[in-house]
Amino acid sequence: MVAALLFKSSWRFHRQHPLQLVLSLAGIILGVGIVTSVLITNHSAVRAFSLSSEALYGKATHQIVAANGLPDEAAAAFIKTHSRLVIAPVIESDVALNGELATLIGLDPFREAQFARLQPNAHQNASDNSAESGSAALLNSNYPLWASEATAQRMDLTVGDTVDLNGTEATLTGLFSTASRAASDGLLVTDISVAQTLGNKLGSVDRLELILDDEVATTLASTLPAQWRLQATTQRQSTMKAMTRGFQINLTAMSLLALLVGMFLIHNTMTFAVLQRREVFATKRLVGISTRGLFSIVIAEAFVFSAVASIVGLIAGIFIAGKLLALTTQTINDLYFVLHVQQIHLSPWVLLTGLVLGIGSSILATILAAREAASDSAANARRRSAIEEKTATVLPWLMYVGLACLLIGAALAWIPSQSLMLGFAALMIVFVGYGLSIPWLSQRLLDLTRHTLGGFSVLLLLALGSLTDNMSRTGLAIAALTVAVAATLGVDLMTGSFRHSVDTWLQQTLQSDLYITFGDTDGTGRSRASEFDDTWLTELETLAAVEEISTGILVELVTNFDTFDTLVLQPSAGSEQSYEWIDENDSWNTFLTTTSVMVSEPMANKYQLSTGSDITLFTETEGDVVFKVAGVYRDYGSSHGRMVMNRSTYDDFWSNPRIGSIGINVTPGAELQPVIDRVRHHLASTDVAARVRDNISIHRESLDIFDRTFAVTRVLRWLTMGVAFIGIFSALLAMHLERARDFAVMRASGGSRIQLRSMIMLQSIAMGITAGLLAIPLGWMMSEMLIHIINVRSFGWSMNAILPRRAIPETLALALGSAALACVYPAWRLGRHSLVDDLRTE
Amino acid sequence: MAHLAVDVTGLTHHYNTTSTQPILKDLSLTLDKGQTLALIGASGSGKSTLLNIIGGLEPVQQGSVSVFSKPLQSADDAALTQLRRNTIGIVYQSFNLIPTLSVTDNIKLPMALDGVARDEQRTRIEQLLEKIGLDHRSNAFPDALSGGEQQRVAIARAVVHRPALLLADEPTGNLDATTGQQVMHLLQDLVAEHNTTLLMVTHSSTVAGYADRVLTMSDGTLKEHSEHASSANTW
Ligand SMILES: Nc1ncnc2c1ncn2[C@@H]1O[C@H](COP(=O)(O)OP(=O)(O)OP(=O)(O)O)[C@@H](O)[C@H]1O
Ligand SMILES: [Mg+2]
Repeated sequence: MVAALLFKSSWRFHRQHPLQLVLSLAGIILGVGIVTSVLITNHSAVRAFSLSSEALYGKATHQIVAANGLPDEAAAAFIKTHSRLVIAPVIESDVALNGELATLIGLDPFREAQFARLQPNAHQNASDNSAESGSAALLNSNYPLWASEATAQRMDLTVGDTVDLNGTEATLTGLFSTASRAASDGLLVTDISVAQTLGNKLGSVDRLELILDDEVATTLASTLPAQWRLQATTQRQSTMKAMTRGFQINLTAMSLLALLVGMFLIHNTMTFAVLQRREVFATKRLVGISTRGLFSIVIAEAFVFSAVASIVGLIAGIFIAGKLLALTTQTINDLYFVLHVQQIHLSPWVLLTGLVLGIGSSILATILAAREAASDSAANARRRSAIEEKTATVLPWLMYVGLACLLIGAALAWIPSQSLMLGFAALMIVFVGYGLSIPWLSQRLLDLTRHTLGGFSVLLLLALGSLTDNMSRTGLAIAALTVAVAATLGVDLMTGSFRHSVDTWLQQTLQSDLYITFGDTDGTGRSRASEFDDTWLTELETLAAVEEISTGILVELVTNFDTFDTLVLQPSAGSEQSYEWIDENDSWNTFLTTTSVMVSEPMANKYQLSTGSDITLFTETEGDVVFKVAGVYRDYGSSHGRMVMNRSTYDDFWSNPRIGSIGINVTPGAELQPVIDRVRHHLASTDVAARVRDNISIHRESLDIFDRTFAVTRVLRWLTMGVAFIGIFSALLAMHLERARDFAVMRASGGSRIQLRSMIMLQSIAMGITAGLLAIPLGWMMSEMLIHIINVRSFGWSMNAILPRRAIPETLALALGSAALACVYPAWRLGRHSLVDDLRTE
Repeated sequence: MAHLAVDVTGLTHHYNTTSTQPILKDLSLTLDKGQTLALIGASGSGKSTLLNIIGGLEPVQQGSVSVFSKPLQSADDAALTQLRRNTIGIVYQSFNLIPTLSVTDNIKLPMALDGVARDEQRTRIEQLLEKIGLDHRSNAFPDALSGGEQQRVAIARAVVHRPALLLADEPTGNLDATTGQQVMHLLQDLVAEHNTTLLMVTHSSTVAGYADRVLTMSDGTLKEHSEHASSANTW
């Protein structure tokens, strides 16, 4: 009965302040939306990965791989000697299907049945109503090419269509489906020989897949040739998952920051709702409603609102996730491995997490306000300034707690650990700590301004006065804006420094003027290899204006701890300049003359390697061989880590005569285009598909990839700014609602509309400048932590922090701009409201 | 009509366009310069509404209202602002001081908004503070003042720009009898000093007794009070 009355009274209050309510709901919706979208995106990416692994590997439990693929005859012989085991050879290549990145799987149709990875589509393939089940039907064509149903549907293909495959025409001969339809998006299947041709892998298969129990696996492992390795399918999967983890944690942290800003907002609105009704509450207490009753009613309100808003937020999150997933998949493709699936996977857990975070943070943010409603003495609550007096005593304490948080955060950051979580925890604590100190700091700043400038104008005095006297509200709005602007600045400084480092690095790495890459049409940057005779290469080097050439091939080498992409380099005189050493040594000489490799910085960081360390490599000719680390070089190309090996060293232990790319240095001063033409002409004498590009376009392409990587971060950053904007907007609005009577008194005392509007502008500007100024140190701290802790721990990359001159004015402008924008509506509203109504409110 | 401070003719006012019953019905009123007029009448009869219309706080819906020969019905916001700066001062029942400004700053407000020279501001404030007997509390904030003190500050604020017309809506309504009397004396002093025209609303017949003229509001129109009560000075 009483509860119903209380609810009715609450409902009426909120109906009278609809904008305030909408804004607070918008804050929760955005906060929850952002967090959920990132959770969904991460979950979807992981799920996509396991689904596509399932589609790729079927029931295979193990695979046999070798450094350079398994030669056909050896593989066939192995299968023959182990006729009791279920074994199938597989080739996997990235291809361009009508210009889109796809994965082409080459299978042996007769060995597929037990792996159960694909079913022919009965309807579409009705013509081959053979008794052969499953993939054996593939053989019905001499150039079989099957697409998964998902691929066909998305790209609008039907059986019989002509498609473009790596630049050559092919006919789609069938469709297949997999256990999970979405998982097979981007999958093509053909037979082994076609796959070998298309993928430039004639004479070998990529792996043998097996269905084994662990016992057999152990015995089998010991009987394998030295250069072959048996690994569990799951092991490969977990390596790949681990690769993207850092990236996903980064996203999650950004989204939590948005929720943090959202929490400020929720707190702000609920405090406003309580402040506005303090007399109502006081009256209610006078008529005998218990303190606990009032506390519960405020919490219940927060619960109802946040539940509604969180549900809407979840829906918004699903929508945002759709956009984020495309960006994330792109990044994973650029940086890690090919992932086609673009479908959102909603797990109840993810949705529940979003809901709990939304409601939980709202209620947490409301507790203070609820206590305010309940704890005040009835007489005190009627006094307008009572709550602000209380705030004034609380602010220094918040500042002390904040200071303590900052110290704890700094201490955590100093712990020499590789833990990314610890790094993020430090970052978050620093943010919270700084955020808690902001109201006190801004009060000091505003008070100082008021005392120095207030004498000049009563308007300024009034404007700043009502800011400092409403610190319970304005302090939080400033804090929210500061945090959001600081996050923007921090991320900007980090990506700016990062981009600068990558730019410089690319400049250095791309020492050759021209690059020829073979079969590299898939856009992944992973080049296929081709074989060239020495005369062809010598002829290339003697073309007019060609000064010297270097060659390279990208291979996968297996170490005693993981598999790494390795560039096998036949250096030219200029190649040494391509590498910047992290530690200064006689690295280049060691690299050229000894059994050694160069390792990239991320690899060195991850596995604690440095110049002189030992690495065991699986070689083709001698099995395990210990290599020295010749040097650690800067490399932003892969966060997993890679190596560089001298060609002559490689040839000692592997027999792979192919090359994947050629770097050409042009005689200084010579024009590039004629050289490109001559090189193209020379290439025409072979039948190898190749691409000739100058270093400028590669440089640009690489930077494009870099920018794509941070597209997600940028989106999240703007969403966070959106939440902060709503925060400052609703704070201004709340303040002006509360101060409506003062404004009316000013009007009645002869204040013009323009004077009052300028006062509101002044307040916004003061809040904006304060937030902007306070955001600069926090943003700088954030970028320092991102650069020196988070990036090193999640990617293994170190870089130099740079502070561009425009960063500070831009930050101030962002804070000021959003604050100014937020005051447009309150200022407009001011002129429209009935003065008498406002004078009557007391 | 140059001797008229206020000239209202045929004023009709509705709050809700839906309600057919107007608050003010074809009301007319003239008030001479320097006159003191008390408006009495039942609660809800429309006294405050009339005062607010004359003060330019509420728009004129129908009829005409002139304050010192300036027609309000055709005045735009700028003209009304100008009128409030130069001609009108308002005192409210609930004081309506700005809590974030000190006593001095509250009194200073109308002059600051009007851009009065600083020296002039200072001398006027000093004079007024002395007159209202609060020179020792000039830096206090409204929170720390008693009701009577607050109303004295509010009156000082209302007259600091030397308005020719002072509007007071139940200036003693929130005060006890003794304090109310003090406030009324102050008001009377100030009005006499500059020959200010005073239009006040009151429920108290004692307060009404201070007036040259007493009008009763009922059914949306005004009736002149028959007996003159200036001598009835008991609280
Ligand atoms: N903003 C408004 N909206 C709707 N009705 C209003 C509004 N303001 C006043 N009224 C109504 O107009 C009528 C006159 O109000 P007004 O405040 O002028 O009365 P009053 O004579 O001053 O009363 P009191 O002596 O109690 O102050 C009342 O019935 C009131 O309910
Ligand atoms: Mg009234």
